[in-house]
Amino acid sequence: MSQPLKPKSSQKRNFLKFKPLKWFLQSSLYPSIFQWAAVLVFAVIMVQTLAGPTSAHDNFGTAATWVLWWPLLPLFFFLFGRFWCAVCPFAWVSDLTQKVFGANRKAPNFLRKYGLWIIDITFIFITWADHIWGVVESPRGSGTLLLLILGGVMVTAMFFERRTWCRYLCFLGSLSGNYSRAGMLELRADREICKTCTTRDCYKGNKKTAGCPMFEFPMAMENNANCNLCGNCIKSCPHDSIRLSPRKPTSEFWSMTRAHFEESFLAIVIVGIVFVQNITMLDFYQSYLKWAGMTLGLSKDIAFTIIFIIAMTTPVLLLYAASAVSKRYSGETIRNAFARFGYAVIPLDLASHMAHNLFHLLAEGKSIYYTFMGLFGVHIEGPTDFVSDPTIQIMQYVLVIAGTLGSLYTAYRIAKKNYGTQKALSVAMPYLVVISIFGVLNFLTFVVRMSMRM
Amino acid sequence: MKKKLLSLIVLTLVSFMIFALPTMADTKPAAPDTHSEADMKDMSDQEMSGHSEAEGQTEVIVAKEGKFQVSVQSEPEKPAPKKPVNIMITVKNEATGEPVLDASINVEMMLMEAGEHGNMAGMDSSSATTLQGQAKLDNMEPGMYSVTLTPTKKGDWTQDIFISSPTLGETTVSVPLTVTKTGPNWILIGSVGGVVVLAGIFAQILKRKQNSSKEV
Repeated sequence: MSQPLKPKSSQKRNFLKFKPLKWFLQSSLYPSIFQWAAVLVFAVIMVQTLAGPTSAHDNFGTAATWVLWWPLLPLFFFLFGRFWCAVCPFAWVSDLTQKVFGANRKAPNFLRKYGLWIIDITFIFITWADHIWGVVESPRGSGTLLLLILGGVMVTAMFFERRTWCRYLCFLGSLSGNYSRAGMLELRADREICKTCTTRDCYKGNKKTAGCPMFEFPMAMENNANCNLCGNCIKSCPHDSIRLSPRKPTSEFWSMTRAHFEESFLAIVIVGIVFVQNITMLDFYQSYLKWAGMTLGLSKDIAFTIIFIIAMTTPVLLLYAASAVSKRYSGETIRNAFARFGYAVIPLDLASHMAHNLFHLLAEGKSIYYTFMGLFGVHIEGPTDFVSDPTIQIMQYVLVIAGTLGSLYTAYRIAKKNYGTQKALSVAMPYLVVISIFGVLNFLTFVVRMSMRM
Repeated sequence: MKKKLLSLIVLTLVSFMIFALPTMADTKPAAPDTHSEADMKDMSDQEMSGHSEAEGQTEVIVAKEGKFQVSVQSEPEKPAPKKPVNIMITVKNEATGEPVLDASINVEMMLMEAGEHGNMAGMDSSSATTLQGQAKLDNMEPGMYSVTLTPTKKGDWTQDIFISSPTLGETTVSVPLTVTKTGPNWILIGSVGGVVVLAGIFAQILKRKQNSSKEV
């Protein structure tokens, strides 16, 4: 599986050659100028969700979080990698807590080893809990989630060094890592220059700038998963080795040398998560709940949990089956093939996630303004949509088709890179079939109008 | 020792901030409700029947009473004590499905106290817990009438809606409404704050130990 590390991006196109940008990224303004803005908005969100109106319809915290931030997040990851993580208010809280109270102990081995699994399980649990207890639709539910995260961030920062929470525990960590890997921007170091470096300021830090908060060593970094573009290495590198380059979307998946089963697992589970989000908005779901209640005597929560488990496990089993079939041509173990080709569904995940949330952003977007004005005692009622439902639906179709094509292409390129051009199609074929099924099912769920959040 | 004390003070202040922010938010005046110019006044004892199954959401409760088809919605979804609730009542002709535009609608809201007071099973008949208003025809949709009332206390309320139409006669519909407290969850906030404070103290002890072992 391992091959020599070779930078794939076009190093010629380095955004840091643009001097005003480089000056900005090296200055103390970055990323604090964005962080402060995010912290300010976050403080209002916390207060609103914990103590503001209990109706999502009237709550700015709910609107800002679930109608603006959450829909824009995957787009941010796609365009700018994990830049959001650099300006995330929780990261700011973590840094501040650590500065004042931090014992700066090393992150435990358990976290280093199983961090990604903890993240995967937490993410799945939160998605499930959202449907059972109401997180998105309930301001208090959202507030509880944010408060628990805040508590977790502070406790982690008090004990452990750097951003242990962000790297090993943040429930969005794996999702953001996966999505940013499909993205168009990458930060890498020039290995030839780094070979001559003896100070390793990018990792250790120096008097002026802290080391990489995500425990990354830019010279060895071959993917975007844990780079949050905080700019510390740009500031601290004494040899001007850091490059910020554009790249072909999804290209990282077929150029990478190490595949992680946990990352692939989450990628394939997200197919089920997006699917379950859509399915609960269909008429079929209400009929199912009635049937489960009347025939089997199941409560709504148990009926949902059954659907949830089916939606989560089906994609995993399908990918597993594809890996088993593909094994005949690749000779790879099922686990390795699963890990390698699981990444291929990320473009479809990203597109479906964006398509699902596009509805909330465009059909409910004005509620952000209405609820914001509500903070000042101005009550505004009116239509919340920016564009009509049919227009949104067309955009959703385009996104899902683009995501499906992206995933198909990625699966083919992964096969081509690892097994050669001759075998590529036969190895990739089972995955192409499975991805097509996911694509069609996703497309069908967007045919029906979705429910509003606000 | 001084550093430790200072750290503890700062930590306590940070935790206090976590507590204080929601309190500040809780005292913020609510956005005024401008839905209707409903007539609001207290009323004397009224006999009523009701139940408390509602979840306080904007669910539409539809009732078919005689010649009427009545649907009732409340806004906001989860009414809070001392905050206005807009009650929207849509009245249609059960036989034709046409909206009824000539109805006179009075709404009476009464707090159910689960049999605490002995005079009438489960009802509190004080003036603060019995409200009345006349619903006016609303332009939101044909046949919709609305009235704004302000429940004074949390608990299960019942809304008796008296409908009278010169063409279709009279009827009464009873609809439950749950009024819940909207304040922050202090137990949760306190627990998280407490854990953070304890972790802070523990971290300081660790830090001190580390520093002293380095010095040695």
